[in-house]
Amino acid sequence: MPELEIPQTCLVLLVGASAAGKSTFAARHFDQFEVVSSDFCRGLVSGDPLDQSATADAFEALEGIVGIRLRRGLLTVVDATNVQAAARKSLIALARAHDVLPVGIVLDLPESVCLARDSARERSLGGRVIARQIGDLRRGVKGLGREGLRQVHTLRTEDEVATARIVRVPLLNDRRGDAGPFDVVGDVHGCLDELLELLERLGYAVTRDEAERPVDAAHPAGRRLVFLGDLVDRGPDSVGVLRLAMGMTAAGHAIAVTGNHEARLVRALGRGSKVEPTHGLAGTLAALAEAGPEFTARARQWAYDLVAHLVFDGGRLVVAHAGLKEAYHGRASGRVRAFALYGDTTGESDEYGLPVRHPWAEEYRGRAKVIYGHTPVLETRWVNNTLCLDTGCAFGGKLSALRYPENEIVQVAARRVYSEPIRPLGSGSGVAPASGLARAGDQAPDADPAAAHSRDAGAAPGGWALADGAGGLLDAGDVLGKRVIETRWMGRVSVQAEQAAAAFEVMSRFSAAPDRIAYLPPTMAPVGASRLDGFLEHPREAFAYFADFGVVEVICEEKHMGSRAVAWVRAPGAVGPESLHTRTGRPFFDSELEAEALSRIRAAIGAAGLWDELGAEWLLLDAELMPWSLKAEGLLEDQYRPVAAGAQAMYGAALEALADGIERGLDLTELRDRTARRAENAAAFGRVLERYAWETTGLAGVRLAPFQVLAAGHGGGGEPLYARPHVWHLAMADRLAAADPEFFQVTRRILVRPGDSGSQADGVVWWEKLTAAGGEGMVVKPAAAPVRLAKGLVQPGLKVRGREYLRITYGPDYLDQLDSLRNRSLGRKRSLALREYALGLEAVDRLAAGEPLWRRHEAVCAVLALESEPVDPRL
Amino acid sequence: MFVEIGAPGADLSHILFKHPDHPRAFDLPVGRAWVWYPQAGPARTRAALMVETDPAALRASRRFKVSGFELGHHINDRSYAASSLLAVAIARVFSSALRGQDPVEQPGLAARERPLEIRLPSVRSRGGATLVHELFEPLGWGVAAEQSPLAAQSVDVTLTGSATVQAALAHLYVLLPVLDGAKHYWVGPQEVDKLVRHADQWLATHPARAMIMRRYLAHQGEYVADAAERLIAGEADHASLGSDRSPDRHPDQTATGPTSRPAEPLQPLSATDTRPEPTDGEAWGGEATGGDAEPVATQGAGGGLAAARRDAVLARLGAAGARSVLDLGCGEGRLLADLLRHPQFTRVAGADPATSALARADQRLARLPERARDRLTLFQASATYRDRRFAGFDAIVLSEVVEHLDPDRLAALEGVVFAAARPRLVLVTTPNRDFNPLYGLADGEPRNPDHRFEWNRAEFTAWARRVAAGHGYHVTFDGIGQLDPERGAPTQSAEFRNDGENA
Repeated sequence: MPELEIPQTCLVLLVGASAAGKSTFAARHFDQFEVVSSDFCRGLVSGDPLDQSATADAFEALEGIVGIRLRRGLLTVVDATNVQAAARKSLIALARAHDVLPVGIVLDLPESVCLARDSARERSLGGRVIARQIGDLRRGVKGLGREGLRQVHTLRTEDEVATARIVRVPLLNDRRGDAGPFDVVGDVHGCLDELLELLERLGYAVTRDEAERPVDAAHPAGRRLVFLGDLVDRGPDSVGVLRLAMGMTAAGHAIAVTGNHEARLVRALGRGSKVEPTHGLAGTLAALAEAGPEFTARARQWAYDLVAHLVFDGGRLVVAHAGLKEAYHGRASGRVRAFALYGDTTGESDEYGLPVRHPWAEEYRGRAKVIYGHTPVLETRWVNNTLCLDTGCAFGGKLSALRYPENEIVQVAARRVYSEPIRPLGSGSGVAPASGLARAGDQAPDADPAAAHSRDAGAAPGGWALADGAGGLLDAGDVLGKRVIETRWMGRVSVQAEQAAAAFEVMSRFSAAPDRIAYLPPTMAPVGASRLDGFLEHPREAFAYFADFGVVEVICEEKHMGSRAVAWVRAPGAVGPESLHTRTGRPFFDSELEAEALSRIRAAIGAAGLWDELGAEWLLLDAELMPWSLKAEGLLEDQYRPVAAGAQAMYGAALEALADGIERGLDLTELRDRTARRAENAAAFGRVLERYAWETTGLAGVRLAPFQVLAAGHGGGGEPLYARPHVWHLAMADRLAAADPEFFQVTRRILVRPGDSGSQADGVVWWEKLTAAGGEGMVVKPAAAPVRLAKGLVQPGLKVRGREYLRITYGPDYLDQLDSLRNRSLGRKRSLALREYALGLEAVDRLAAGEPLWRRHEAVCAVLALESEPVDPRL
Repeated sequence: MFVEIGAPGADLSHILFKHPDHPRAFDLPVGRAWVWYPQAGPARTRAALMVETDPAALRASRRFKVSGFELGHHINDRSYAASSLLAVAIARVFSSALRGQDPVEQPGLAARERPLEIRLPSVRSRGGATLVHELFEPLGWGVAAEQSPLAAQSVDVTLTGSATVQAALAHLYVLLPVLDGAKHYWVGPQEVDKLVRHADQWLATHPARAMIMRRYLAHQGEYVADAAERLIAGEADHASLGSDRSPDRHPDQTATGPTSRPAEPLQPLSATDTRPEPTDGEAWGGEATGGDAEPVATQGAGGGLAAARRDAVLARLGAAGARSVLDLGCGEGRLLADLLRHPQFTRVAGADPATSALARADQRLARLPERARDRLTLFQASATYRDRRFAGFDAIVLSEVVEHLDPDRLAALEGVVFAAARPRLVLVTTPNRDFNPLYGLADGEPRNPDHRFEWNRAEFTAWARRVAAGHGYHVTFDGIGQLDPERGAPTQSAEFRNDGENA
């Protein structure tokens, strides 16, 4: 009973003449979707599985399907004769292109068997065809390995075919079943003393041999060390490090991947290979000579057996010496190994003669954390879920470890400089970070590992790593196309491709730089239409809405008529993006005035003592900026004021002409009365309008009414605060207003119990007072938001606009059309408001969790994208 | 909307075919028109026409152009200000008078000129009171026009003069939509007929005839040319009428450069042309002010600075032997059209973040032969987002693009173009601020409202040298357009090459 071992992920080429039993074999051993058959593809493209004239098209379809499956990492079996080298060649190339191993299973059955089966078929191919295929097969079968098939299994008898068993063997790099916990250690480079100190810090107990040489180390809690390669060269005791690492791996206390220095060592110790003994290799070779041939041979074998990358924890953790891009995770090919050992080299050299590397980490968009070393950096820093742990110990830097899954960095300092770097430490990889952001080494040290730890406590459920906001360039692919955003509050929210395109355009042309936009606010739905005489909107509907959802207490907040504004402000001396932008991400002011406004906000936060109280060095505020005319002057000019002006002039003249006509005895009183009423409506419209327009000079006349502290944080992470009760947020706002009453506007409010009629009545009276003089109205919010019930999120707020104010939304004469306006449909607007709300909170959560810029930008753009959904703009 | 016409004597009611003692209502597509006589007697007669609009019907009028602001469909001055809607009402209510028809019993009455006073308390004029004077005075009207203190576009107008009622109504019929600059209905070929019918007596000699035709025919070149042909046949200048757009033209796009700079370069007449935030009418980068400003072929091969820029870019791409070219910030695709005319460029791509600009580029380039089109790809992209589709071109052109980016986004552009895409050749053109005074621009005043900055030569050179050094490119500089000995050329350009380093 032959056992055929094949890699768990591979491309299987069945090779055999027609009627050799390939399809039967495939059906028995593989899932129906794993097998792609040429006959089936012929049928797909021509309607007839045996139509030889369709063979070329059929193979085009077959290779298309196979390519997609391989890209997705799926084992795939090609059921075709594959007897000719040319046919195999393109399939082998396809496997290589997707870094999947190609293997062959040859069904080399006696010609008589094939012939007998063929003639039994309804549409026999005939003896000549079968004989030719078998001839082709036998000529080629010996060279299959040379063609690139990594394994070839041959079955020669009907019995073998019938009894064969397929055994799927995981790839050497596949440790997905192993979830740790691990302590991943960066490039040791012979620094044994530092390694021992680090082990101690990590809590490992070291075992020594009779000569007091460390030969093993074990963690009482069963943690294991993961070496990222480059254990040897440059440092003082490469042999000692090897001895310890070999002992630990043998005892199951450590796992290692190979570094380029191990690969060089293997070559240097091999026969006939010429390796320049540079970069510390000479020292290692000398020490090995001293350690003796037996140790040297063991060390060589150990290093030779190391794999280039490992995938752990269900695919959530990938380690490789020089990192690995997502497409290569769990794959096997020469170029995957080269990437893992040397990084994404461009073939160019920098001014020091060292290879220039492509900034793959900046382009990395994977969910798996990639931990790597190879390129010394001054400090560790998360970039798009990747972390370089090589802090240049041999060059006098530090030896660093990452505790996984805790994401805590543990470091020990080098005792001295053992080797002079060719390129100054921290000067990057030779290609400047493309975004122009600070290079890895320029970042302020993340001095306190405990701080890092505590930050991660609030990390995303998705497991995105902390980042300090740097992540290199954004990619068009981060924003464009149909998208599904996974949100914490609402699950998946879809964005259509056209909406994404609209957001991309606005972001590219008009918005502030993406790293300055942490959040965009959602649209807000109005209350359901009121049935009360003379009202389109009324507080009662808002109270009823929330009472229905079982909300015990709501807060009614004065709605300021200005422009929605988001302020991201940092404490004095704190470095990082800041901004003051509109709900579509456009800056309100030029950069000079913006800086002035931000420093005004910064000063008020300081004077109110909020930096210390919130333990924050940045705050993200949701606010309203007045006057409305500041941002909407164009609209006022083009749309609103001409209404007031035109109506005033026109009605004046018309009423005069009507009066003259009536005096002449013409029957015009009805028209006159109607016209007089409309003239009054237009005048009321004009009065409301001018309430919201005033002159500003610089910041003079500008007012800001913050109503929510969305998040507060430090450097690259923080704490979302949006879930705190609104009374807390408004208390914060009050303190800002107290600190700078000229710039900050207080938001008046009242708490109402929507289930209590007396309390409701108080709310109504309050609103009536607020709006009688043309005030915009109020927003009714659950006092403790967000509210999520079994059936989903509840509206975070409903606006109840004033009767007079609504003239500038629905037109001066809207009260004459109440019956038709009451039929307004709110479903779309409310659905949109909720989705935007969830996306906005998602953006805040991603910011607070320290996720990479592209992840934050994705959520921000999604809010903007949804804004292009066609909804009645009057709602 | 309201208009009142006054004339001495009692003839007016006869000419207007409306009984002086019976107010009447007429149904219109967008509401109802009322006609009555506030005064009717032997001394003087005044006829009033008021239109009560139906908001729902107004909204349903899809041709009712309101730019950039959706709420404009609901809040606008159409119900109050005289516009094309009033013109339609005049044609409907006073159709006989507009035809010049005599009352049966009084032949010759309509053809008689008489002193008229026309009162339009609210006219929507994109061009304010000035435009009202410019349009009506050449026709012999005394014009009193007062802009509203609230809104400059809202003008109170009184016209006095001697004319036939027919001529007066025809003037209103044609010029109210022209003042407004927008029509509430679709402009089709029959509009040319209407224009010819109502303006053949007076338009040919009107000094603003080009603008009148353009606005009346909603800027549709074909119709404008047709109307010019029919109204001004034989006149030498009619060939240029369709393109005489100096009031709307931007200095950066003028035909002849600084020596004959247009009198009013930066104050376009039409409010739709002065967007504080460029919306879909304006391409990002490339020809920023859009189709309205592009000099047409009749202005000669010189073709203005924009054309000179394209010629210079083509010449440099040709000299560098580039075969595949990406125009990043292609706008409406004028450079792409030029590139496709040269078979040397076997692969041409245009990218722009503005989907509307891409759609117009697509339209423009659809006219090219299929073989040329086949060499072209158009896609939405931005110079500040890394994009795999940017890879593999010999050259990337950034023509009039960088100045549309906030300065803090230039680093991203640098990374996207010079580090990630990394073509052999990058061409950058941008305005030279040193030259701006020759356009009559004040210090710090940009050539285009969307320019986030304009570099002088020293600033541009410093930026380009730093970028080149940071990414292993060699850079050389040049000017495009008529050179001023002190201030340089209006456009400055930089050519970045990294031949041989990494193909």
